[in-house]
Amino acid sequence: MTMAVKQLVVTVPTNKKHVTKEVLHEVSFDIPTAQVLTILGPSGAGKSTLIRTLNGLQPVTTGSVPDLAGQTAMVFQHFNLFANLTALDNVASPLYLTGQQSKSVARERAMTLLEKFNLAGVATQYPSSLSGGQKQRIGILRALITEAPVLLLDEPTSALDPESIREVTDMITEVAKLPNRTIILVTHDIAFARDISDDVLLLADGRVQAFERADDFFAPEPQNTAITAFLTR
Amino acid sequence: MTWLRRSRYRWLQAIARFYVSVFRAVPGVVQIFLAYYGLPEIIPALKTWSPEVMVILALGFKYAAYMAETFRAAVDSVDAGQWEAATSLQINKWAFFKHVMLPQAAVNAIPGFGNYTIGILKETALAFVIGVTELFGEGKLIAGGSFKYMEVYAAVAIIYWLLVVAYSALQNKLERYYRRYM
Repeated sequence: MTMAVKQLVVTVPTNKKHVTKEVLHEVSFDIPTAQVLTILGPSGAGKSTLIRTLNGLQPVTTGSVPDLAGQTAMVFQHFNLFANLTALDNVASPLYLTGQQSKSVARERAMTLLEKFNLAGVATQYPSSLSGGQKQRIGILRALITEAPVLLLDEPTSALDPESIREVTDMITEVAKLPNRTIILVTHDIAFARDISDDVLLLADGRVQAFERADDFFAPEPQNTAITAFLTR
Repeated sequence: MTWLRRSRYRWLQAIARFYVSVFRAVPGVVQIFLAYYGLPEIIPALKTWSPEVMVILALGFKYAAYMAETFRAAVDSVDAGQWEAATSLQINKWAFFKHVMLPQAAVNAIPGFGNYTIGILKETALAFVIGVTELFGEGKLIAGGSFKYMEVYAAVAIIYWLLVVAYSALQNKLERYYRRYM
């Protein structure tokens, strides 16, 4: 089963009044369900715009994306944790701030997740006192607790030091093993993409350059010259 | 007023900017005279309103202009990324405002809000100009009757000081409470 992105065009405002810039140009691909799809590409390729569009944070100019309302949860490059809530309440917040669960039930479920991922020790701490890796892992759990079938990760390791990157990639690898979970990951980390991906979408200048199974994408001699150019740059 | 300043509609922003510009520029004593003597000429029903109410209105409108700017800056200081996170988690605007934005904005607004509250407290002395016998007015009457100007005005000054000290202590406690996560 797949979800189709068809002829997607996204324009964004620029610093100049009434001037917009087309960031994605007629992007089409199928999102495979219950798989890990990694979006790769150089800076400015439109990767983050694409994932934000899938999450409804960026409006579609023309074309279409699958209607994922209520089915996605997103993890951000800069964590975007709620600064006034403890780690426990950050994880619990999608349940009790949406009225799905009472605060006490939401906290119980959040604590179970924190324990499962060895983060119970930071439950009462506020984001300001957490390391980058801990913040991002809390961000991932906050997305995970929603049980949204589609998990969107926008460069989750870009703002982290090497040690924290390992913590976060290990956690994402573990999350990827959960059943029936579609993961769409934007990253610059080629080695991590190779380890975790089922499919890879290569974007450059807002256009799809390649969309391959991971084994083909990372094959010693890829068929697509754009892949070779990207991997050997 | 803060929400008008932050409205997506420019005409609402313009109304708020005009309000802030006028009420911040005109001295408090002029606003009290305008409210008490001027407005009833246009709206006769206001003639029955007590001078205490008119002072509260005049100072209230004036300080609303100052505080609107303080609250606007405080709300703007909350990282926009948190709103994106809330949106992506299907947390609605009201829940986000109440549980996430307001507590954070409060931290940044408390010092400015406190200064203006102290300002209002001190400017209540202006109420005497339209015949309201507040703290300073009472002191003036006692001093005039007893000729003990130094003692009476010093006592008035000390009472103002104690009120501000008490309020400042309360404000510090509030700030400490809200800053626990910073």
